[in-house]
Amino acid sequence: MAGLRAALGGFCDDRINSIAGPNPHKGASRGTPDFVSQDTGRWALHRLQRGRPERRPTLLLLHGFPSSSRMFEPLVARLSDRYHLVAPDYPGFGHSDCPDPKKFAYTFDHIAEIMNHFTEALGLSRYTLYMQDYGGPVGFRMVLAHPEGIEALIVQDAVAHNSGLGRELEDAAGFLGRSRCQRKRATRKPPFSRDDADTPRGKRSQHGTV
Amino acid sequence: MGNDPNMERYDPDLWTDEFNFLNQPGQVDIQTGLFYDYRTNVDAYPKWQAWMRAKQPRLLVISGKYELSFDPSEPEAYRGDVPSAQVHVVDGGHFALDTAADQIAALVREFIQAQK
Repeated sequence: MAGLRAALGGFCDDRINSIAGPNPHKGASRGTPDFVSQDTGRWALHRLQRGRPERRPTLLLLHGFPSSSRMFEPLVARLSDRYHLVAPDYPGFGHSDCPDPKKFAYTFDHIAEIMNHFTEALGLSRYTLYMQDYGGPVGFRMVLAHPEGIEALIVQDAVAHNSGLGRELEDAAGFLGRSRCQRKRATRKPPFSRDDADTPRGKRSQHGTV
Repeated sequence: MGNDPNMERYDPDLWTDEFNFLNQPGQVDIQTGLFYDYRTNVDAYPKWQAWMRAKQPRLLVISGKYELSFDPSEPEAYRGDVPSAQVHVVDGGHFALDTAADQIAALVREFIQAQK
C-alpha cells in the first residue's frame, strides 16, 4: 500500500475530496471517429473499438491499474484486421465518467455489473475475454454472472490464486489475509492513511504488516 | 513494468499519460477505494477456481517475465485448474503489451485459430 500511496499520493494529496466538476476528459475524442462514448444509462463509458463486428470472435479487453483502454492499443493495432476488439474504460478510468465516490461504489462487484450492462448495450452476447491485472477481478465476476457469453479466456498478468499475490501486494495481502472479523475491525480505520507513504516497510503494525 | 531491465523499449508517453489521468481531481479517492476492495477478490478466488475446474474453458495464460506485482507461480497455477491451459511467459513486465505486443498478438491469433 505504501507503494500505491507513493504512486498516487505524492502528487494528488492536495486534491483529496476535491471532486467538483465533470471529468474534463469526458467524452474526449482522441482524434479518430472510433473513439466514442457509450451511455449505459447513467454513465458515459468510453471505449476503444476496432475491427468489424461480424469478424468473429469479438475480443473484450479488460484493462488493468493504473491504465485504461489505451494499454490495448498495441494489441488492437495488430489484431483488428481479423477480429472485432472492444476495450472499455471502467468508470473512474481513462476517458469514462468519474462519478463522485461518495455517490458511486468503486468496488469490483459494481464495476463488473456495469461492464455487463456495457456488453448488453453493445449487443455483445458472445466474446473471448482478455483480462489484464484488474481485468481479472472484473472479468471473472462477469464470467460467473454470464458464463453463456464466454467463448474463451485469455489471462495476462492477472491473479486468481492466493499464492499468486506478489511482492507489490504483500502489504495488502497482510491486511487482506486477516480473518473477517479482524478485517471488520480494521475497516474502521482508513486502509490508506497519509502516514503509509512515509512509514518504512515492515515496521507498520496498524495495517497488518509485521 | 516490474523489474524489466529494458526500459528503453517503453514509450515515455505511457507514463506521462497515466500520470496525467491519475492527477485528475478525485483520483486518489477513486483508486484507493477500489484498491481497498481488492480484498473481496481474495475471498472470491475459490469461486473463480471452482468455475474453471468445473467448466474447463479454453484458456490462454500470458505473463511478463519481469512481473513483480504477482508471484511467478501464478501462471502455472491456472494449469492446476485447467490442465489444457496454454501458459506462456513473454519478454515484458506487468504491462507486457508495452514491449511484447508482437509476441502476445501472435499467441492470441494462434489461440483463436485453434478454436475456429
